[in-house]
Amino acid sequence: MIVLYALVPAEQAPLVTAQNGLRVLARGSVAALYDEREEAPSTSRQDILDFGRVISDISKAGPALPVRFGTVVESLSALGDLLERREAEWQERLATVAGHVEIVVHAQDAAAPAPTPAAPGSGREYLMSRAAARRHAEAMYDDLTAGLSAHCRESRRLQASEEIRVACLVPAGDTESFLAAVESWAGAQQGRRVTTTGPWPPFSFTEKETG
Amino acid sequence: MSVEQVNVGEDVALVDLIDRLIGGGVVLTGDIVLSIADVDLVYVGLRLVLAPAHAVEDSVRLSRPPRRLEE
Repeated sequence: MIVLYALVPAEQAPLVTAQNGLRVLARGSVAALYDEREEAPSTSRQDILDFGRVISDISKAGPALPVRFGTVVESLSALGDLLERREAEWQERLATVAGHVEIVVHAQDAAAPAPTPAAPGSGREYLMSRAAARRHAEAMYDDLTAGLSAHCRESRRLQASEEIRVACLVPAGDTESFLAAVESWAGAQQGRRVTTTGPWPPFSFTEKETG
Repeated sequence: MSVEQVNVGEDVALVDLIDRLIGGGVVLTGDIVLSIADVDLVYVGLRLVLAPAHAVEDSVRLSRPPRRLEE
């Protein structure tokens, strides 16, 4: 079976495959990097991290769109059809992420209203607490993205339970000023706490923002 | 920086990396569930959240059938 790793500009593919032994199938300006295996990749932590290391190596060589871990295709002809159908979309994304890295920002506010009342109360109190916490989180998200917009080509809100989590597409040479902007945002109001991770390959920017 | 802070940061980075590897990237179909350090990470409807409908291709399938929390 064919295990997909990433999509890259066709002219970049030979360099990448020479480094890590992956195979390449190109259609037009976009190439898919893949491996042929007898068995599907397992969902063990080690396999996932090994996949991540290959993605990291590919991204160091130039613009790349990582494919979600665990994706396999039936045949090379199916992969070729896929490349032909989505070449324009992936070409645009490759141009967008070129020269950029992804940094994930986690933000919390110690002064945020609790999502549930401190003491058991009525259903109405519970719903009002939830609504207040949600409004606070939305305001914090808007404020964070506004504060970082000058440093992000694009941003995506990621799923999170008790914090705001935002992926930012940052020029690779601008990460220090981006982190300074994050610190500045956090320091502007007492109680804000931020953690950043990355730089990562552009996992969150493989598709154009919708809505 | 204390050891505790370093460990917290490393954990956050590891979770972000694994989350992005299985929840980000080019989406062709489906969701997966996996276990990390004995904790099941369950992704519910990621396709709906992270991928537009046109990203789902009939000719492509996940290596394992998806498990969903709801249904």
